[in-house]
Amino acid sequence: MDRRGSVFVVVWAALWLAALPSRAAPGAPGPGPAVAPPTLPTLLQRARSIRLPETRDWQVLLHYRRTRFGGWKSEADGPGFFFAGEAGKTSPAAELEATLAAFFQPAVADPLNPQTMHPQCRFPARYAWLKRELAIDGPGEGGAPAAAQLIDQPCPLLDTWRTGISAEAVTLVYATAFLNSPASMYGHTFLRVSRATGEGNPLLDYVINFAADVDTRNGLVYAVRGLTGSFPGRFFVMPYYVKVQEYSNMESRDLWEYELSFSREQVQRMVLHAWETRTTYFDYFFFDENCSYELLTLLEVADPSLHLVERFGGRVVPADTIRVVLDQPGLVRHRAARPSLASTMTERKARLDWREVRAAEAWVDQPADAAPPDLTGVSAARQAHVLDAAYDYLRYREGFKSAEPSDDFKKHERRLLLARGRLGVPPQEIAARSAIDAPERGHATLRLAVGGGFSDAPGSFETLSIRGTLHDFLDPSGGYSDNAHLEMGHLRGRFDNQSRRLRLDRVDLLHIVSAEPVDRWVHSISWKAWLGAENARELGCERRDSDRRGWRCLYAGGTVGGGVAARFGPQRRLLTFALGESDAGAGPAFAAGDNFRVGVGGEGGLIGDAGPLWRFQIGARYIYYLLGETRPSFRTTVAQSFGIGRGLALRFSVETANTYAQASTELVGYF
Amino acid sequence: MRKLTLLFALVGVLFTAKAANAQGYGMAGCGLGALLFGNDNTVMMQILASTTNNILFPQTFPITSGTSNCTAGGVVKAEREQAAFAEVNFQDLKRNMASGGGEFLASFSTLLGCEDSAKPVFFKMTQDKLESILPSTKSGPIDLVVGVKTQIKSDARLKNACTDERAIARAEGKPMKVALSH
Repeated sequence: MDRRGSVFVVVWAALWLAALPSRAAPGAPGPGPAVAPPTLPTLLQRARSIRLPETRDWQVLLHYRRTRFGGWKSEADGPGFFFAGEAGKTSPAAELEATLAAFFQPAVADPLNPQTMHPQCRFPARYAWLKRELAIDGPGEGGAPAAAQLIDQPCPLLDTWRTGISAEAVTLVYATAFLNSPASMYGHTFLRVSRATGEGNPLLDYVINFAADVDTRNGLVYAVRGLTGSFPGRFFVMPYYVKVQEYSNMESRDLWEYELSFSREQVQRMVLHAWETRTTYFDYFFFDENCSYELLTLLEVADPSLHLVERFGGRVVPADTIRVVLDQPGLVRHRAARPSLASTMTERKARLDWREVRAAEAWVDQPADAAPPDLTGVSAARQAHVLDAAYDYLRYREGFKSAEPSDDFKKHERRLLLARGRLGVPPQEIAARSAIDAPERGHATLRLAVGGGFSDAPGSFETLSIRGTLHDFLDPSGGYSDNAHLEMGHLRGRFDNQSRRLRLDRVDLLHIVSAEPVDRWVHSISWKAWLGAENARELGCERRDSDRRGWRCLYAGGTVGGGVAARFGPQRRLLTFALGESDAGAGPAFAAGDNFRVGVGGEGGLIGDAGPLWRFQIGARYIYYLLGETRPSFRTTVAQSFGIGRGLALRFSVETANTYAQASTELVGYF
Repeated sequence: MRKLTLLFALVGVLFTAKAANAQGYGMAGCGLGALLFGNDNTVMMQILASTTNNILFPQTFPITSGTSNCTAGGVVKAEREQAAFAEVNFQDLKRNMASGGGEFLASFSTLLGCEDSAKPVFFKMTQDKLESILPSTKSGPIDLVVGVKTQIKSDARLKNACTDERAIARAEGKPMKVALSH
């Protein structure tokens, strides 16, 4: 090293040492004016010069999205989120400057009052980020009066909350669909943050859940307000064990957990940002700005280099967000399943032989003071299996309708638990069953289909269809419930080659068939709901001599029904259901009967698969019409689907409606 | 100082719990309903119950909400953690105890300040002493907390392996594996 070099090093070291006290204690009274914290004008100047408002970090923290006209608009709808008032919602620059100014406000009188928290305590993620970007901890300028200096404020409420959560890692959790609640038909996602202590007790972790702050129990009001975005959406925090009780036990929904590879700093920024949202709300839209969408915005706050939200258009299905997160290289570290009480019970029961099933039932069905079932000659481990299954059955059968179980349940429960304890056998864990499939393995949710076919009259035709969501019985079943058909926004057009006319074939606004199979232990109800428009081909409108041809064959209608379903056959791969139905419709198709019809009837179906790629469905439906157009309708379907590679399938179907019959083929693609 | 406060709080919970127990279960007010919905147990428990009747599941307890006797901003207060966990997971805890282990019992032992290495012994103890921890069908979650802690104190293998100090350290966000300085 030459002489000039070593002089430089000495001078540099002296300067660095002189700066040390201010680094060690920012905000504390320093030895001289040279270490005072920076003033607001300096910081504003610095923020402008490095174009801070234009950075992605700031945009994700404030939930700014590009508008159609090239401007910015924040998706936060509550005014408490912005310091610049109305301007803050659309101007990242104005909001950044107003935020900086707010951080200079004098200390509040009572830092323990949640109503009057200091801006630094209300927006800790913004504060930490601005401090870092503007190097506020570094040496400031001299001579500023104390009131103009930026001073770290105490935030005891925030500190207690943060300590309780102690977040270090984050896991994305998917709760499988629950058809019996309109809010849960598409599944649900939420985040779980794991404690810093690394003790490996996921139940004790906390959950960050985005949900509509619903104040109605009326399903129709819920649907309308949910679609129009008039519920405020907020982030909720609660222990994970509360969610496990709600989903696994009460609603019998399997949970899938995806551990993300965020760093500790990223997780903490995300949690601090969740705290910031307490000042605001986000209009909750059922289809797009929903639970899963807002969780993606939190993940972008954790790591602003992720671009997750923009991958979605007008429709965010929770399972799609799982796929998008899995698409990010290295983002998901590990996946785990948590089967529900019902799944576990079914699995345990499947491992018992006939005599053991009867014994488990006796523990539950016979009076609590009856002699315990005879299991002589059965090993202690097998007896433990029986008692474990019996306990699942007892609890499932009691249900969760009241907070306090019945006395009879308590007596049975006690008898079972004491017997199980006396066995002294360790826990008989069962592996997650293979039949509950990871949601990301399911087909994509948007479906397009082109096809063609011919009928006895009027001849050949082509079809084109699009379906918004989600799954029918012939779609590949992996990742979805095998027992449900749920379609919304399905539209099929048809071109008749003979008349050279394009016509509407069918519209399904809503089409649900929930065929929950019953067995000895599970007694669930199956049901159906349909709302849409269709052609009344059973009335002969396709015949050449009909005056109801073309669009005059259409009607709009709705169906509701209830019944039972069962599974049988090898590996219980065949599903059959029977439903009683009432049906109503109105439209030009019923000109002979005041343009409407109302009837009752029934429907039966058989669905099965033979191998992973081939699925089939057979169905028949008879409706006897009582009012209006009273000619009965008898329809049958035989259809099958072959998977032909990733995201593609071929379908063949034959359908009849009274005297009308058609055969058709469709090429189906999932996107 | 803060540790001392927490210790007092924990003792206080147990004390009130015993008093509550004398008047029958249901006094603690920190169950699933309280956690999900704040304090309005009567109305909210009905709504909670209605979820199994396939109606909507509203969750009216956002971070925005203030402080209840049980939670603050959705986070369970440190001195209520053991009782809250036992109330919400009462049935799962009971069956884990009967079968000598399981995830709920493992998490509960963490809240009780048990070392990881003591868990197998703790599990076996709860299985063996199930009948004395829960002496009747009327025994509730608070009896479970009190009963398990009493058994820990009278068990030579557990009384130094499951301690309030460790439970408090955890509530303060400190790693439980680090030995305490005092």
